[in-house]
Amino acid sequence: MQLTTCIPVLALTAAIAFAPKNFVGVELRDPPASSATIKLDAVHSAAMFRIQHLGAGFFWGRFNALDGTVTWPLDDSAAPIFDITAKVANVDTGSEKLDGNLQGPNFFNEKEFPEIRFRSTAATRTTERAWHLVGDLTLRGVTKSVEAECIVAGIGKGPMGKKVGFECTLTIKRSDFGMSWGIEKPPKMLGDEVRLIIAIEGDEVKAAAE
Amino acid sequence: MESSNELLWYALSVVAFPALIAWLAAMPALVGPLRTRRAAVEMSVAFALALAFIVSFVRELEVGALTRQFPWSPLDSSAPIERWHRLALIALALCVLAPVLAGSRELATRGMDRLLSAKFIVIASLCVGLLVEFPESSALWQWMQALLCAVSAYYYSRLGGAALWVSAIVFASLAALTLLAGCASFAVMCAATSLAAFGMAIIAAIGAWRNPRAVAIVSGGAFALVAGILTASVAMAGRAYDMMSMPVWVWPAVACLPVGGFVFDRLARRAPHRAAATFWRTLGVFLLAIVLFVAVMVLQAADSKEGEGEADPMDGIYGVSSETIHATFS
Repeated sequence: MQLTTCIPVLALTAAIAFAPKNFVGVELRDPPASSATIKLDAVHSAAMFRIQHLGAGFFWGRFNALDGTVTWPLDDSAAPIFDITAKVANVDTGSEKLDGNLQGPNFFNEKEFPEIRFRSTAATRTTERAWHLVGDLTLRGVTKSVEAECIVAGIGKGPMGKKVGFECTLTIKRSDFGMSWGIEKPPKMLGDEVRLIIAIEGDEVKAAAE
Repeated sequence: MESSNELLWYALSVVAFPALIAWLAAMPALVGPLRTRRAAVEMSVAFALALAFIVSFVRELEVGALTRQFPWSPLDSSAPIERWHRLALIALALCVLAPVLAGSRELATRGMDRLLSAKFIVIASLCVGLLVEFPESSALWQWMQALLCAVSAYYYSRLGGAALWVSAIVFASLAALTLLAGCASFAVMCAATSLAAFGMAIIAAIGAWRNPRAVAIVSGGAFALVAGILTASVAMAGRAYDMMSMPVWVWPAVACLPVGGFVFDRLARRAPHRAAATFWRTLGVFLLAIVLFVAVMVLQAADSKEGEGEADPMDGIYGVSSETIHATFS
């Protein structure tokens, strides 16, 4: 092998070998033994979504009462693993009529696809208690890989034990999930891009043995 | 200004354009030389009605939403088949069945043509009732769907020259109800079908005026099959996807609106000419539709007032019931 070929190969090998742990995307299949399971507190967990209306203002709505778990070592030694579910029936825009429209067949089609699920599959640490996540978002029966920025909001104490808060932000194109009504037909009623903020709080239910 | 033009263009694309296609398809049999042939009139009008629905569906969604439903079509995983897309499949099947039934009736001996229509309607109603399953449909609702298809088709078949006017009213009612129920796409397709029927009714009247040998609009056979099954199917889909909790009886009631054609049956029977009979039958359906809408509005208003009185001030603050909030903090 010529020297000119060897140098880039060696450089790449060295870069991978000496790369700081968790700075490359890590698949989240085996959570560390120190991980705690955090069960979401439905009252304090919601997913906010933002969409442009008629090419003008940004309209906000939310999914209340999220369900699911986060598996994470509270010392932040590894990435959190999210498995969160929102019920389409819990959509809340402040208008009952609009909620009904969103649950209808033109948007979330609650009768056929009652749940939205996000499961993280890989993570990269960005700073302390902050992670860049890759995960699968299932919406209207379509599962697509999405990327999210996630921070650990804090670890507090509640009457039942430790409480942990996270906030994840991601942007999706709803047309990728077959939800195209209002983008072109009817034209420019609603934007395609949807910004999501998943603000969750949960209770530690168990800590695995060290 | 630009935005309102785009919205107008959209309305033309999903409502007016499908209706125009239907008018063009039915034109030769309504004002052309085929107006003297009973089977051609029956087939064209029925075919055009179903065609308007399909074209509107395709304009509103995409062709793939229809073609994906065929077993031999390579499935596109990025867009799932939704059950309400079956409505387009029903309309497509009706497009095929309409010429077959009209042709068969033409070839059948006198008396046998009615039996043939009955057979087609019963079989098609059973197929739609038992094979097309919308969400939250129990076995009872499936049988109800089949029954409504047959009942609606039967009453359409007895409307005579008023059939097109009545179908315009019925599909307009369906459009309004589905819009209220939060199903905007259903409303668009029903509006297109209603406009198609309305336009065809006018064209048919012009055709009859211009040609003294013109045959009357044939409400039985293919037209009853298409209009009846499409009406009942959309009504049942409206019930299944209703997100506004409308009274459940509204949907079977709208499917049975053609019954209104017999409110002034005595007057229609005694009418001195065909146009007067058409007027009385159409008026009956129109008044019944008005009664239906008034009832829906009154009940909706009563429901919202009742809901206001019962609300707990804590409800909805965190998106869960006040009981849950109190339990969490206690």
